[in-house]
Amino acid sequence: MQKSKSFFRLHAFVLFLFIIITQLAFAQNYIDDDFLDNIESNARFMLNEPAPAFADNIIPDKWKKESAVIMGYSRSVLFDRKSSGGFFSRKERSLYFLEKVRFKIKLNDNNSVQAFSEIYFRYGAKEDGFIARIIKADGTVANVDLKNAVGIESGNNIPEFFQSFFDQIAYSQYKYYKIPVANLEPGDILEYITTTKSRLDVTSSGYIEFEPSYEVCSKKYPVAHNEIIFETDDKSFFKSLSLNGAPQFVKENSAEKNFFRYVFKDKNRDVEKDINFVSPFLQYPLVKFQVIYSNSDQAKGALIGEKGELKKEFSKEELARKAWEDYEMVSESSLYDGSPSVQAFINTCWAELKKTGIKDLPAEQYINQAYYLIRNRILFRNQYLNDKKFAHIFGSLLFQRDIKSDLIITIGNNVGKLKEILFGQEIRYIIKVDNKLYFNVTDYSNPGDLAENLLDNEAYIIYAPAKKGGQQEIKPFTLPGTLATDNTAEIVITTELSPGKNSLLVARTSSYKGIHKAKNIDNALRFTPYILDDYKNYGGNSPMDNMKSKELEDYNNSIRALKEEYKKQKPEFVKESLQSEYNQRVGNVHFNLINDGRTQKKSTLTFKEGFELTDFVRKAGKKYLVNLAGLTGSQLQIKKGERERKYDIDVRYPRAFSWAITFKIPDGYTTEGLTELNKKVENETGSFSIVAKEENGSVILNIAKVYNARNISKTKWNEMLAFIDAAYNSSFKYILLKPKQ
Amino acid sequence: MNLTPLKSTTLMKIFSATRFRQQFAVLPSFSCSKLIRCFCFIAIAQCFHLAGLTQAHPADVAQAEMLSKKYKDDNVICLSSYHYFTFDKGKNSLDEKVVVIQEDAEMEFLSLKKYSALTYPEFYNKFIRLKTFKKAVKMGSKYITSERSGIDRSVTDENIFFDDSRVQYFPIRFTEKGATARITVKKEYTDGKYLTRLFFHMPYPVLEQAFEFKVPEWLSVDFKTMNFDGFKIEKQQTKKGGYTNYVFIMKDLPAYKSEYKRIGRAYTDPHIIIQVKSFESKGESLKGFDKTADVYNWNNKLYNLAGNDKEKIKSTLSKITTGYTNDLDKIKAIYYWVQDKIRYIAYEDGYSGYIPASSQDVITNKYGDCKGMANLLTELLKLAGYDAHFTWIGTRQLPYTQSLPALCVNNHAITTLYYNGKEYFLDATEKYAPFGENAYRIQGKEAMIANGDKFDLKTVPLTTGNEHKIFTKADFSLNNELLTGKIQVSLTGNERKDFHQVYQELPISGKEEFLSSYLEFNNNNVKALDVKTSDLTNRELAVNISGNIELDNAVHTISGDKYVNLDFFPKTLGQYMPDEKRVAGYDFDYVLSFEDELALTIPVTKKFTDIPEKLELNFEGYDFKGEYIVTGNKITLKKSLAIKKSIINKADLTSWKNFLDSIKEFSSYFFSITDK
Repeated sequence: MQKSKSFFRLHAFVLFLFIIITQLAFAQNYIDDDFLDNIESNARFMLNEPAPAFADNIIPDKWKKESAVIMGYSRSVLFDRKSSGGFFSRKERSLYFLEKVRFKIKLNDNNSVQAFSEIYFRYGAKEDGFIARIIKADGTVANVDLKNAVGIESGNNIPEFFQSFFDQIAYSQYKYYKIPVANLEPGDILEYITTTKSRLDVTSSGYIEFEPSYEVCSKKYPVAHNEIIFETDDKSFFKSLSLNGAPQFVKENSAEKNFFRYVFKDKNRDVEKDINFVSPFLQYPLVKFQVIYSNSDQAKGALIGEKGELKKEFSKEELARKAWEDYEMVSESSLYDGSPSVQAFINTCWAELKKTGIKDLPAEQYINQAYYLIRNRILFRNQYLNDKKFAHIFGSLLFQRDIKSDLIITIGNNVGKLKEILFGQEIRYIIKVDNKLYFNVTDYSNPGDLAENLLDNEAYIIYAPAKKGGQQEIKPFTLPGTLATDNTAEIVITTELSPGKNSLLVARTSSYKGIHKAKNIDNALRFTPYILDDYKNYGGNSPMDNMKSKELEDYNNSIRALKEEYKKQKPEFVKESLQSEYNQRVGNVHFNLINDGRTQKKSTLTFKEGFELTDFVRKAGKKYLVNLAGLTGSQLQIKKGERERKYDIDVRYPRAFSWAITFKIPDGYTTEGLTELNKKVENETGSFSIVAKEENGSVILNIAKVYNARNISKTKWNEMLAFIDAAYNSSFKYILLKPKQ
Repeated sequence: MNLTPLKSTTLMKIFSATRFRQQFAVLPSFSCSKLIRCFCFIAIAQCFHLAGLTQAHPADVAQAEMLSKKYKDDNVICLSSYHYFTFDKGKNSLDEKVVVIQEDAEMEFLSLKKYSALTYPEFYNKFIRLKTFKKAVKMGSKYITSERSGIDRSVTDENIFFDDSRVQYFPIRFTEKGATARITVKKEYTDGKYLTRLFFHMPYPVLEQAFEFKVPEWLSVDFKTMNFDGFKIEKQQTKKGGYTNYVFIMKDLPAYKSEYKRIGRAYTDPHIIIQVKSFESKGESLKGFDKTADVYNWNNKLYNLAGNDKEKIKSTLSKITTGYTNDLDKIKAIYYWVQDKIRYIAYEDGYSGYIPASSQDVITNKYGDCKGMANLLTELLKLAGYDAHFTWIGTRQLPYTQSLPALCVNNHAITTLYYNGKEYFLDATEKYAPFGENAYRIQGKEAMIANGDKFDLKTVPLTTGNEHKIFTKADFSLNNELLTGKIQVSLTGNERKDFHQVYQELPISGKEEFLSSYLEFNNNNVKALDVKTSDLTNRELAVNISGNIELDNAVHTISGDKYVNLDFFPKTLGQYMPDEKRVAGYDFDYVLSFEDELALTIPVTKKFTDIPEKLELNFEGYDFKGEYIVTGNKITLKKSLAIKKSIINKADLTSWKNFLDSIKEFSSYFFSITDK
């Protein structure tokens, strides 16, 4: 079973005061007999609860040919804070998650029977309960016997539909078990109910934000009825936003006093096919939501509504206030888990910059140096900073040098629009100095490099409030987009037949700019020692400067060992990469990095490869056919299932490819087929062209493919197909080499 | 954060950081990859026990320097691996007297590079106890034992629901050339029969591998040497004080490298099979595995613990056979019912790995493993009045015959049916296998057939590629730059069974697309339409899939002539082309043949030129024939490729490579169509 695409997490998740990470490996073992009595009795009450959506055993006709149909999926979570202890014992406050899940699925074929032949349940707290049963085609009901259930080793993934909500958002490691389902056949209905109780100690925590959730309405199987219910006491806050036509959460009356109830229901949801050029969050119906616990009625600095309010959006003032407060608080947080604070890091960076002699540096040069210093520090870590930390650090270093900068907030363009920000984690941060924008560093980025996920979006420039809690100035801003000419891949290929005329010897020089560079640089720089000289970019000192002779010797030995290792691994890596690109065996691979693209002066990534391709040369009698156009590599093909378009198109960023191929005509041969190669398709969405000619004993092909825009209406799909098809079909074309008479 | 100038330790971080990035080369975009790498790094770093500030002894450094010249492609070498076995008497969990074996082992590893790493595992389960597992790292001239235990994990195969297979392992990381580490192991085989085989080769080169056995007088044990020919292995045997010591030493072993479809090491690598034949206990002589009958008796005893109750399966049998009047139909109905209705879910914990689930439990659960299915099938057939027997067999990955009395001979269970003077081998785990046909994985293997107190041995017949055929016939005509026509594919033998095993398990909604893509042969330029099939509910019929087909980008018009490659799905077997580093031969695990007849008809005003020459290649285990035949305005490519034997030995790799090269060249040919 596939990991859920319904509960999807952003990379920057919220602070938790309580994370259970256990180092113990739970051995696999059979379930304790004592547990069995409890498990079923704990869940039995749910069978008596009214559940109209689960009463029927019939599925709609339209879904009878589906592998399985989810007839009902109900998840209910109750958040309840309780206090215990008193005069004689420690006063404790606990937040309880009481979850009830009911799941019912009709299995129509062997494929889904196989997928659900094993089911999982949690028994980590003595209140946990689970009952599973099968309803046969003739209506007979049989419970699944849990006695041979075995424990799951920690660290293993629990499949979709079986993991508790608490475990998903708290990364906790309660114990799970699995059991095969006896007597399961196509035509059966499998149903389970589970109830779990999880506890969080909040005695010393005044505020906890739980992991935001993104529920994409469509799943692997069609869903007849999907519901999610949250009930919170008056210590928790709930917010939710529905997008792209998904139903909304609705507030209902709770049976409990001082409790609030929020209900989401979705019905008759078909399966969405995987297709090209779709950003799921922007196009598929989805609902996002989050629960926040707060000890006090007004949790300061939180993006929440009022007690009992179903909060669906935030004003720009609320967002700006939240973003600014979070931004300011960054200095007190640690740079990474267990490391010194961000402020300490800033202080150290500032000291380092001063050592490099920044006093008289022009502002722009200083800005670049500061950027590269931060980049250098991140280079030796295995984790990037989040936007907020980078912006704070960078902004602070500019401030030290009296350089004025502005703070911009926005949202990822693959997540949503600015007005749809619901979670603090969705806010993205950028620094602006005059007309230049500075995005979060990566190992490879240069100052001013644009980030694919932050193009074209609406944003706000936000300023510090005049006084604490006062009004903030907020200015709308639009983040720049890019043109195809900003994101280029220029490939220059020289090639000729091998002496045996059965393969192509290829020398390829590739140059990348813009977002194209960002996509390719990781592979290009793999197994190259770019890290070693990185200090030069911020004007730092060589690590060797203060080394004693023994240290220096050790250091040099280590460098030597590293480079030897790279020399061995790089050609293998490049070979595998080429084999995947050309879908055939590749031999005689060489690689040479010409420019790593990691400086402003030389920001184009350029490298050269040499290799031999065996499947590009064919014979027809005494003639040869050479698939020169195929040197562009595999081209995108839109297959029959995707030729009709339901959604608008998102290609992520406009881009341009160009290939200049020079083929040396072997002595004693003439060429034909160049005229037939020429092609041009051009329209609003993009273009593809080949210009072929013969010149000075060589065949020269100039091939270009351009995606003009990032977002394209689905009404223009046929236009896109025209140039995509042209590129695909052209990649199979040959030129003919005929022996001279 | 420490911002002092970089030191060696920091460089270690560079190397390790880079190394860990390398390990996750397949990760996508940078923003996800770094975070994911971070998690992986943290997880692995937690597991890694840093060698610390080890100082390699100068003698070790010198040795590493010397050895690294010989073992250029290896990062680590095992200097010595010594295993010492002693024998005791004990009882197993069935309260039977058995021989218990203690193993004491010590391995020493040397780093051949400045930065290197290895992971050393020890496997264990309910029958094999891991009593001691320690790692020590050398500092100067002394070994310092780590206080940490090995990392413990389940190693249950993904096809097994639950078993007791576990591993403990130490990741060891070296930061200096010449750094050394030592592993110490104590293991107990609670029943000597579970110590079956010992291989000499390891995943790293070994300077010396030694196995020593201290055999007491009360024990009769045999050490069967396998694949020793061609290897230099020193054997010693000495008697002293009531014991006989057997020692086997092999030196200078290259690393065992895992390769794609490599011939199983049991076929090629030297190893010892330990055969505890008999032993004396308090004056009583007790049998181990001296003869094949001993193995049978042990198997049979466990089989009889299944607890079958035929009364409980009667009603199911009745339902299965209702409506069938002749024996063969009844037999098939029973066989196919077990295939179709019983899912493969395996509990292999302890003795449940040897005792079959009862037939009634398998029916109730509708799941079981091979033993459970074989047991149920046997019981159903017997209850129906047929001469069926539970049978043990080894699959082809095990080269041993039943004459070797050891547990490593059999790893599978089937049913043998005697019917009409013939024996039939019925494997219920092979879904959709028709009655009378056997999966290749048991062909040529000896079956141990239960027969009360006795047993029979029969060999499953071997087939050649001809019985497992994919026959493709296509008739194209030229439609400008498109080839259009009809195509038909027929599958027989194991190819038919394999097709069913995929097709029948697909989601309903995916079957139509699957059939279309089957006729498209993984070629993106092919479009299949109006697909029809033979009756796919009948596993005994040859599978026929036919339809209309359009082939694009196969015709190239250049200067008015057309160049065509008709061979649109060449079976060049590229994945079996050995590269220059290939060490071992191939085991395909199958035999099959392809037969193609692809024809193209052109207008009568045109003619064919540049017709490729015929190609015919004949080797002992494989052959190929390809020919273009022109008849008027029709050209037909007739091709056949047969893999008659599943193994390509190392000595044959050059011939095999040439064979593949020749086929590839033939399939790349174009012919041309010109005006008359």
